Amino acid sequence: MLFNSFEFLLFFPLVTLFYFLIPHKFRWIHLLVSSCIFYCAFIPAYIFILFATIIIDYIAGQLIEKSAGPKKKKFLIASIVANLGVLGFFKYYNFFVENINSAFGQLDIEIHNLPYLNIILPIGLSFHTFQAMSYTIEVYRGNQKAEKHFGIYSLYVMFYPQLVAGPIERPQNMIHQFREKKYFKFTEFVSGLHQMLWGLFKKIVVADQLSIYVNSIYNHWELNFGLTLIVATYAFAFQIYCDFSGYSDIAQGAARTMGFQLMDNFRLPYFSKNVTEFWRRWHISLSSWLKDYLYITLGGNRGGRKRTYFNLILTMLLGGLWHGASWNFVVWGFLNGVYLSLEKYVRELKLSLPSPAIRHLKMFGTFNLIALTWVFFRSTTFEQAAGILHNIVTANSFWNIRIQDTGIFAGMIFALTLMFTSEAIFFRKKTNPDVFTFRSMNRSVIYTTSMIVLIILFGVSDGDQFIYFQF
Amino acid sequence: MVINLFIFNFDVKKLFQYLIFCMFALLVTDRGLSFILDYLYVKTKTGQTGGKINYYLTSTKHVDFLIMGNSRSLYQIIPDSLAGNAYNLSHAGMGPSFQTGLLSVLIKQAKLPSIILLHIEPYDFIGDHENRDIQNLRYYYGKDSIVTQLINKISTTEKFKFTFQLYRYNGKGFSLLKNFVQTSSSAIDSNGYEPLPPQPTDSINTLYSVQAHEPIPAASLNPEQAEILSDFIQMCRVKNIKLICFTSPVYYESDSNFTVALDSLGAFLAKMNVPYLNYIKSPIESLENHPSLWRDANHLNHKGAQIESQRLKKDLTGLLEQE
Repeated sequence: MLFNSFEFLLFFPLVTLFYFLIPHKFRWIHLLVSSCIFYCAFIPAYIFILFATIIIDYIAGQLIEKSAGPKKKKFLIASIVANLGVLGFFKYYNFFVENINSAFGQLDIEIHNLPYLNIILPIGLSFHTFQAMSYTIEVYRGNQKAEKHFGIYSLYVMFYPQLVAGPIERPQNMIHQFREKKYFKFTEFVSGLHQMLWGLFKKIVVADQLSIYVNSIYNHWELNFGLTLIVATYAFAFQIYCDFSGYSDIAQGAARTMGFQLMDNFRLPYFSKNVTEFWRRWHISLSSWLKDYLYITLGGNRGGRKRTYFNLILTMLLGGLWHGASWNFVVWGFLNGVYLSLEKYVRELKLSLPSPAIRHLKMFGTFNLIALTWVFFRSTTFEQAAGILHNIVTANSFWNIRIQDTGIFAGMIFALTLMFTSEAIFFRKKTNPDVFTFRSMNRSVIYTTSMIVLIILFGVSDGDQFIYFQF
Repeated sequence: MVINLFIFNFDVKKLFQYLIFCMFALLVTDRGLSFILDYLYVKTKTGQTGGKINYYLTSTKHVDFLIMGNSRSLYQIIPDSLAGNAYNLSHAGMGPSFQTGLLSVLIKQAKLPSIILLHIEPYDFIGDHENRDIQNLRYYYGKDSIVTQLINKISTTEKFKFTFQLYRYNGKGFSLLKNFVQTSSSAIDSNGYEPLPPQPTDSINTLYSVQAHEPIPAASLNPEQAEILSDFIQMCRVKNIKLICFTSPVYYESDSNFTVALDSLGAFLAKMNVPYLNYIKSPIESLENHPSLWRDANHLNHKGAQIESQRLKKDLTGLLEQE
């Protein structure tokens, strides 16, 4: 079920209302059933894959807690292999086959081509796999007790607001919340509602409008050059931010209406002054996951300078592969890894730059470095990305900018300005719950009305699904 | 007991208060803004967000030829080239659903031509279509029964969105404002044709887009789309309007599926007794192998449009003389 669908408009109030109407001891059942309904709205059969991984990790958690020494490690490895096995099969099998067949073809070695499988990636698989893995790893590390209640553990993986596109939560933050008795609090409920509206605005008004322009340029990239492709790439940078952070806002807001606190996933990433800072503000739940479970496990910065750079690049490269089974995602991750390594190298040189004076320049520079990586992220193939970069630097027709539809372009600029000005003013020094908690009822009513009117008037009514659903 | 406690909770009372205030504020804002936008809409006489339809309805005299269709008739058919009094009411990107809805609006406003030249796009009749193009006539939702029916057909939830009157202007705010300012600042005198002036990059763009062209995956006519066209034909018959269909040429070679689809479309129109001029099957020679006359593989520039319009005029004269 999409957050920006009519079905969710019915689903959300009903689930929230019943949550508060029923006694606390039955609430986990209600949330679990609702989450199943939410998930089954996509491809119902895939819920069995989810159930299977839940059962495996639940059992693994118990066994890890009860064991010690090498046996404990074996159970952890078994659980990780099971999780990554499912992810690998559904997400990377065809990619693997394509590359194997192509490699043998290049070498003129005659083999029977490995068969492709006609399978659809279960929605949100990458997200809930990582969330489930963080549970077993935390139990192994002794930071979390194995959850005895199978229903509560299932809910930790399946809680509908963050089931299909995160934030990728940690057991320490979530599991205890399902046990706490929640009371209806007007301020908390309305604050959640406000954040959901803000997320919907970012998705339906900003991201979906930007996508019309971006698609019209990127889908015909051969015919576009220079500034047109640069503007389209900038537009995509904002589209993906609004699409994904919009989803996170709706998820956080929906959870807060019932009294649950999900972690912040974005903190104004395009205001970062370097790429390292960018990754502390962009998709925080994934970047912290990669840092805690992959980068540190690889040795982090403990093995000398070269080893640190290698670890950084490998972590980001795998992070790229997490997004999609395609070489352009690998390049996207690799580029980010190189940026981070280079920044680390420059920092170690201890060059003192007059930072306050060039703060804005640094932000602009960082934004452009990130925008360059988005070319690989948005392109469907590596060849397309290379072609786009070639067309950007081609001097021919560099200054000819295609606006396409002036009405859509004006709407895009208006929505983007409104969104960025609001975020720059209100979000810089506050956490999300603070921003969306208003002191007076009047402000709340004005905000709600304005958001609904903006969505009705400027929203794309038949917009796309969220970009991150495909991961 | 538990339910009672929840309902009489102080915070729940506040929630009801908040919801009532929000609904009231929404109602007032929705009606107030709609009133302003309705005023702007009616006064707008240019552009694709309804202004062109308003211009045709209020500022033109009786027309002999009315050209309807998508961008391939909007940019390619010069009304003044045709015999008699003509107006080009084509809208870019619009398919059969929009054309049927628009004809219904014209009938209701009693602003009917003697002859309609309907541009038929084969792609509109092959494969699945959601017919979202009808949403460009949202202003007429609830005012015209055919438009209302076609919009309701898009999805079961569509009618609920019209609870808000503002939804009729969804996605059109800036275009409407721009077109209103344009109407107010200059006198509009148009025959509806929008030329694509020839540009030095036309040839290269055309050859590029031929490369990018992909063969169509299906060949059979979609019965739902054919039914919408059939409704259009019936409406013309009832109102005694002569209908002639035509398809503009393309710069690429037809693949097998496309050829089968074109034949089926031709057969369907023949069965319905509608004359059909198909410039893909009977190409205009002077447009072939001249990429400089095209903007891309589907659209002619102004120079090419002059050639197609002349050919259309010749064929129409022949067709009308036969009758």
